[in-house]
Amino acid sequence: MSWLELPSLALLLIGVFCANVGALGLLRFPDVFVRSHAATVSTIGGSVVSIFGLAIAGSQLGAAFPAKAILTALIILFTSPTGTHAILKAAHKSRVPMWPKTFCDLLREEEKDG
Amino acid sequence: MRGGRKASRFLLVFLALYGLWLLLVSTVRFDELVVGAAACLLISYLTSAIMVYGGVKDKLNPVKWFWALAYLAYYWFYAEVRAHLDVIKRILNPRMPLKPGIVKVPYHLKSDCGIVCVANSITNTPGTVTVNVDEAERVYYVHWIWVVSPDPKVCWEKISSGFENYVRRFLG
Repeated sequence: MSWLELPSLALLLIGVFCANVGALGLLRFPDVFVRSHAATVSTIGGSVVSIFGLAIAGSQLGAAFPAKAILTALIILFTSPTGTHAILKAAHKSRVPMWPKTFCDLLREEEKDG
Repeated sequence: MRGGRKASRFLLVFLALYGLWLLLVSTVRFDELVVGAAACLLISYLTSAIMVYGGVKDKLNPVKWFWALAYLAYYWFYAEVRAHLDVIKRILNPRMPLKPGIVKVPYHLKSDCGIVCVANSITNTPGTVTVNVDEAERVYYVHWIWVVSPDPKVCWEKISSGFENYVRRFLG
């Protein structure tokens, strides 16, 4: 037991909480677009924060462990928004139905005008 | 002059790659050092023409590094935390307060790198997702979980002004 275990444990617990809440949101939310917000909670709050916690916990094993962990977190941080963006753009282009109570869709209006 | 710029680019990529290699192996054994140097030399020879975005001087400017670190601190300890709490509250609320919509958010950045950085920051904070970018009109189309107002000015203030004020100072 070292004092480093406390912050890493805290980060891991935050990660577990966010991953579970994100999964719940994925089930509860009404359409693809709103669900993507819940998915972001899982990827950033769930994975990236847990990996930071892991990096702190593994720093006793030498510099290589946290370096690899942080590299993994960075790769997730760069690739996950690209994936989300591609999915939503495709969904919007192929006219996946939006939730009927959606407040406004300025992108669709733009396409109609143009 | 052109040769000098090429050489400094090459050196920058090589040092960054070799530093990463040293971190990953984290030993000072002779064979590891030699193999790493050979691999890094080959990779930086092949990619240094496309790896460095903008000038080499930019990368060594301490003021820009300061703003990049300030941005990271703002992003992780304020923007991410606030957005997560907001979306978690909406998920756990039995009545699930939602008012989603796609709004226009103008941006005032010049470099491609800065535009991508802000778009990724918007997507990575729960509650807002970039769906499309219109480079002619200089706007992002952002799906927002709680549309306060479809007015672009309000959207800019609420969604991206925080990111832009930092990113503008180190990516332009």
